[in-house]
Amino acid sequence: MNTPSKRTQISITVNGKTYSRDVEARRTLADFLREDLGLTGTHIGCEHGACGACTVTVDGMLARSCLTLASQMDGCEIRTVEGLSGPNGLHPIQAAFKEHHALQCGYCTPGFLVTAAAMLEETQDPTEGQVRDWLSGNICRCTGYQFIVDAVLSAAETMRSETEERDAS
Amino acid sequence: MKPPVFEFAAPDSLEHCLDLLERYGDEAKPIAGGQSLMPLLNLRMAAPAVVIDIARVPDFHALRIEDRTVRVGPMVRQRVMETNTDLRARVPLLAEAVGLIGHVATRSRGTIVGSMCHADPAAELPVCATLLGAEFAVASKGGTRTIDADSFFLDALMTTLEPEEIVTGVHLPTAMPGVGYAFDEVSRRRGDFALVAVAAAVGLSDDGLVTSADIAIGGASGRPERFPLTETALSGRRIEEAPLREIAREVCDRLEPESDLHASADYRRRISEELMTRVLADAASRARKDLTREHAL
Amino acid sequence: MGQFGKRQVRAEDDRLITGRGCYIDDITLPNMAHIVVVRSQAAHARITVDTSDARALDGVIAVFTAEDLPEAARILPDCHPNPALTNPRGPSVLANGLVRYVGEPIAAIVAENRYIAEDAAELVQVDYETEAAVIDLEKALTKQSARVHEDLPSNLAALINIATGNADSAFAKAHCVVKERLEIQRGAGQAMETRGVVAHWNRFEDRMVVWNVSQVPYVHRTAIANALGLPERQVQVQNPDVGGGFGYKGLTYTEDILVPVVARQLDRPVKWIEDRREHLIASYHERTQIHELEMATTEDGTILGIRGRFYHDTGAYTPWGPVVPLLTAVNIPGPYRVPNYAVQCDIVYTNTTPVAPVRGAGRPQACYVTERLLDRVGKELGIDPAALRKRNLITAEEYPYDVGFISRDGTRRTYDSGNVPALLDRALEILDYDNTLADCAKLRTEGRYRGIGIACCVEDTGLGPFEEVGMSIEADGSVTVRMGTPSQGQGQKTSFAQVAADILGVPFDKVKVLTGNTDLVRYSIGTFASRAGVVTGSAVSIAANQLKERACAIGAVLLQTSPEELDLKDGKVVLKADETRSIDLAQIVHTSLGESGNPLPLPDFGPGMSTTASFSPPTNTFATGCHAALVEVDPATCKVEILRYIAVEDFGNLINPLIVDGQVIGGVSLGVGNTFFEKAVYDSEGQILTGTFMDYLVATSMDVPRVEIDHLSTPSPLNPLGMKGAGQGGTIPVPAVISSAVENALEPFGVHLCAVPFSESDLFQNLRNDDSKSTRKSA
Repeated sequence: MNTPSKRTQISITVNGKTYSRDVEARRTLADFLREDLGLTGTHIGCEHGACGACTVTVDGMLARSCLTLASQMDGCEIRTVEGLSGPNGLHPIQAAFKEHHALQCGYCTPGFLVTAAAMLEETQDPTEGQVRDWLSGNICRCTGYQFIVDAVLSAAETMRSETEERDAS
Repeated sequence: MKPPVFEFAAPDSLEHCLDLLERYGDEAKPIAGGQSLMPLLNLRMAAPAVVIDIARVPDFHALRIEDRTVRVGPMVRQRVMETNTDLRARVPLLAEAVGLIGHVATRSRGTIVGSMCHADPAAELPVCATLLGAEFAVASKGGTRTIDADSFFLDALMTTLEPEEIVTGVHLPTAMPGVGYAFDEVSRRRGDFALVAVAAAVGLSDDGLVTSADIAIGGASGRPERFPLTETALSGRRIEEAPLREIAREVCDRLEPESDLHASADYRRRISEELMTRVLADAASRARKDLTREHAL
Repeated sequence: MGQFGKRQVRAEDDRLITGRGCYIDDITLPNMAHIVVVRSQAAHARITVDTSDARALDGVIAVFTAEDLPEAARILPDCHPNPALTNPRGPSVLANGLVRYVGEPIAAIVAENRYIAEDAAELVQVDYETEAAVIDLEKALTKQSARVHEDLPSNLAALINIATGNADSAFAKAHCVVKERLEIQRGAGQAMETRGVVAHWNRFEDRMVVWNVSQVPYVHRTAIANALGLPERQVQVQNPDVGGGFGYKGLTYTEDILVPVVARQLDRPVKWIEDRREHLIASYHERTQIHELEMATTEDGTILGIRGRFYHDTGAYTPWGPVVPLLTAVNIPGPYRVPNYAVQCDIVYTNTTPVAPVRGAGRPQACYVTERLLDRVGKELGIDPAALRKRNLITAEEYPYDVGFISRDGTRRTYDSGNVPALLDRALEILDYDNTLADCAKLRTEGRYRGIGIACCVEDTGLGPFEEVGMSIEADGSVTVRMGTPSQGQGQKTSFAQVAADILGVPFDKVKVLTGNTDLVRYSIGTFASRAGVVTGSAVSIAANQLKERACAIGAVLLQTSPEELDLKDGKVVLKADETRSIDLAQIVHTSLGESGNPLPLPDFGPGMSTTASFSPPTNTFATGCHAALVEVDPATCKVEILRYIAVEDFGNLINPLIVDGQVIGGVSLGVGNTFFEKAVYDSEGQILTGTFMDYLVATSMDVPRVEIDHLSTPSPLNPLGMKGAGQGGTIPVPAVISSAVENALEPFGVHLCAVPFSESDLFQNLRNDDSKSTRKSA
């Protein structure tokens, strides 16, 4: 795309499914996911990158979808909260959130889940301090974070024992 | 909070990128990670006619670790500085500072060069670039040039980069043997811009006497300021015998920070002093460890 | 089955953790248009508005200004009228020639999408002829001050006086009198979901259907019906999943009226979603108060009285009457014996965003001032803070305790039950008070500054007048509960299912709770003031008991016994004496409904298993709490670390301790923000400087400490379940506790804290000032 244009043709893979769309150049990834693809699990909280509610992963890396243009995403792979659970049911982090009462209104929850899942892919045995650091870019007004931190630590433990079981068998 | 109308281009080569910059000049705005530009667009505080996505220029993703220099392309994300152990060892100052920038999600998109080009006076990376004397490789249709950090940062959110120019890489000198580096800051919360950030480099002789000392301070003026301390009472002394507090006070008395919502000028000045004392001691202690390690080898 | 009191995981969560929630911005209707509100950029100005350029933009459907609104839809109704407010002023739906705060709505753009609407908003020309802005709360009452409302003689919205005993004579004979000027600055609720409204005219039913994020949908039903000139039955208000309420979503805002009016006029579905910048600027704030108060005590620290005056900044209008300062005024005595009390409050208009209750609602201020005064007394008299509090706390035997004046709800303020000395003892025990004090003293000799803070509070919760509940046992034996108090995340679908499940003897997951739709029950007051659990929960228990009685009565006929011999268990009516003789609830419903075309088999009972019930508390019940904290301060950077935070609460009986603990920790989190971070700042011209989350700071996962919680219960005698509200208790004492702990930590420096929030920079300034003034001899 060497010539500037007000519209962009993009092809994006979201949660394993590829979509080709013609979008307005200024459209944010958050609006594209929510309005064009109907994936409303990604929430818009501040639109200036300061709350984390809209967090998704782009090619495996965390990203604020409000600070990303859909136009930049041509050829990228996105994962949203809708893509966390697989054919075998909930992702361990989702199950842990429920078990530990890590959500109240649920509005910030998708951003926390995506962030925590990305963390657990990288860090199998995090300390509480590491968890709090990773989550420090996501604002929650309901929970005071404590049960979220507990849920992440618990999910890490679940995932470690699942890995051990897999390795053992 | 939606971006205003603009045209979008994603050039696939430096050549095309420079063509666009030449054609649109200050009407155009390059976007790398977008972590500084996107909030401005969403708040409609910036309204470029053209946004140029530089991510499709393959060379821009290059990270070259050489003996004396690390060459960082403009699309290298800040997160790489956290996860690449070789890189961390070569530029330990940035390795220490990078974890304090925003949050994992913003560091995963935000680029090292992008943060430097945004030139927020309280941002961590410009302070590091200033201390290390980083060099910016710059290109335009007219040719290339190199700008050293001291000339690059002009004032708050201002650099000497011309509208038709783009930074094609920042060159960071690698850590020198016998030199220790340290970075510290005070911010309101984890991930916020620093109220004050201070970086230090201290060189020691084999017998542990200070041979060189430099600091850079961010957040206390419109741009990061570097203060060479080699000519002060630090020189030729063991760090624990040096009058760090007095030296720090003398430097910080010269600062003229501003008061804002988050901190008073007085606080910024005195915290600079405190941080400076701490990072000088930390840097020296790391230099000593570095020497011990060298000798052990 | 024992659901009541169980840490039951929530019925709500499966949708919310998989991205299948449905929030206001997730609602999309065919042909829906989008609204953006153009807001005032001046704090006080006469305005002329030219919308012609905006109207001309491609994709713009319409632009509304004040004159486009029907007469009945021009001024917002006062949704909580109160006679104490002598000079109320309601905001205009769209400003009519005059704006009184930055962010006040001026015009509404209707466009095909939000992007275009924002483009058009930039094209609206507003000419501001600025007038002097009234910003400083104290100067606002001076004779020279400009006036926010020209038709009023001054900026005084109301004066409140609360008194008991004879304060002046108590002060005259006091051994110790301390006086403080204590400031609490402006903060905000800042739920993660901003506000939003979707409205459309339902042609089939001939009525206005509105989705919004209200805590009080029935208040909105009335307001919208009045604005559109419709009977209430022609308005339906629905609340989808709502991303946090915190009090300030409990009243009518401009857009709650504006959006339905636009939808009606254009005969098109319309959506308005507030963005974060608008939410920071224009969603209502709370907390600004300046208190000049005195406390008088005997030589042993026994409180003789409190007197003084405080000033409340209500912003430019009074959308929720005088409730916040009134709550401060009645809550200052707290859980302590204050025999003589005389406090006056001046409610003052300024050219700033109006004020609504935010979690805590006037009580954090009350707790802060009382506890700060107590700390001062402790210092003057050399009495340990814990001992001083214990000396003054109302003892368990003194409940019910008559505070001596009239409460917010017009009744004599009487604490129904409580045992705060026990809460204090428990908090000290968890903290290991004596050893921790000794540790602090030892560390101080090593140059490390740790301190302890303690505060106790009361909270009036569960206020009336009523809540109504509908309940049915369905043909499959499951239970449906219908109620009027909507959820903003409190877990009502879980808690109330627990209440019903126990009484009806059905498994938890067989109870479905429906809320957020004004068609479900006829009337409701709303979810605020820690009242839904108490009032709706009680109504649920009454309704469930009615159904139980009915099921047993029908069961008695079918099992040929008497109802007294029967109980409900495992989804069946069972004979107590022989549980093998039973009949499924589903069968009872089937039988009672009869067969199509045939006469009803049990005509004495009427068809089906449905009932409605309501509960009306005689007055509010009082929750209490005692919080304690251990902090460490780095005197060089003035950074404060909260090492331990303990909350011992008395919320009466708990339906679901897991959910209640979540409320406590979340409340503490806001309190931490109120102590260090949350501050809406105006410059002298009335420009708001905190329009983003980079300027208005809230506590993150790095700032909120782990909260150690315990519950000691004194069940309320005022409702069938013995409950007290738990929504705000976590927030109320936090600024008092942490301020006390920080001051204690920095005692060697003589720091004197009398304002929240305080940043590290504020603390540094305070420390330096006191350092230079200190008469303390240097070592």
